Amino acid sequence: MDKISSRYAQALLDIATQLNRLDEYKIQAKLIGSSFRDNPAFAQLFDKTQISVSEKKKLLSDVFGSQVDEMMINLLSLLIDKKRIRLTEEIMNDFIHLVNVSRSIEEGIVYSIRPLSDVDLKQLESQLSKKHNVSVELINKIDTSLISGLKIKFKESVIDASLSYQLESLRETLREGRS
Amino acid sequence: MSLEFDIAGKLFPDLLTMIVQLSATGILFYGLKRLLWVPMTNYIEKRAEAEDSALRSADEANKLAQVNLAHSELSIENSIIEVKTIVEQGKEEARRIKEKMLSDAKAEADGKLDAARREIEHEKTQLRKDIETEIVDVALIAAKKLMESKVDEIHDRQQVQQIIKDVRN
Repeated sequence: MDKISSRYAQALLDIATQLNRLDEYKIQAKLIGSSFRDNPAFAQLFDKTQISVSEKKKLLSDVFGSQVDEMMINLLSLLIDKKRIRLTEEIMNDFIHLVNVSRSIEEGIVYSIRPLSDVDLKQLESQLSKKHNVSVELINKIDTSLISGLKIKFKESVIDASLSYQLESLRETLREGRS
Repeated sequence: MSLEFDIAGKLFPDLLTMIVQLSATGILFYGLKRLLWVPMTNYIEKRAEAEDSALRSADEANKLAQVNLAHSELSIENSIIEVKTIVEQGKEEARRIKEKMLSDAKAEADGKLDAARREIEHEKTQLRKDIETEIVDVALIAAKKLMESKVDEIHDRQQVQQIIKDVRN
């Protein structure tokens, strides 16, 4: 975890806790984080010196104004002023992590070749929560090398139910079988 | 002119002359015996002793030389025997060294041959493994390509649904 991003994340957590809006801010953090992660061109706009600070702030307000709290907009404006806007995704991730820690929610990553639907993701979280008797929250990441199926990283374990893993197992079996 | 000599008369002296001469000879002989006999005999004896001593010394020297010669011959004989022994030992040592060198060379050659055989066997085994691995890899790559082309979104979704169901188990 980057030290600068964790300091901002911790400050955001403190404010959210004081306002008793942890879950709400967590959802907004996910939205902001995914916006920067999934739209590199959008993130790069904030690096351009041809665009003034005020224009960047207006752009942020236009994009997120209707979906996130004013406090979040203020945080993003502060990052623009401090020239740390490129840390936005890390700060949001750190904040989500801190919220999960405070809520005793275990984080995991599920890899798939296509984005999982919210229903599938919730079902998977539910199944894992029941199996491990803890609250589980999964982040979906795309990995086309899987060919098909899923790979889940949770706690210290990895559940690899992908076709590429089965092929790799077959390769190992064939190699061991002939040696 | 004729010369006449009384040759017969000249051949025989007259009695007086003969007596005088004999007396003179006797006196001379007596004087000699009286004055020279003892010194001469002493001189001759001393000379004889000196000659004897020289002869004895020569004889002793000769004997010593003979002994030395015998010693030398014996030494030479011993030396010859020793040389022969050394030569024989040298030959034996050379033969032993030669045999050892041959034995070592043979052992080394055998070792190298064995190592080369093992290396060849290892290379063959490794090559066979590599080929088999290559075959497996190629087969798996082909299978992967085939599956990538065959697996569509519907099939993948079915897989995901099945996995979600199985995760709890």
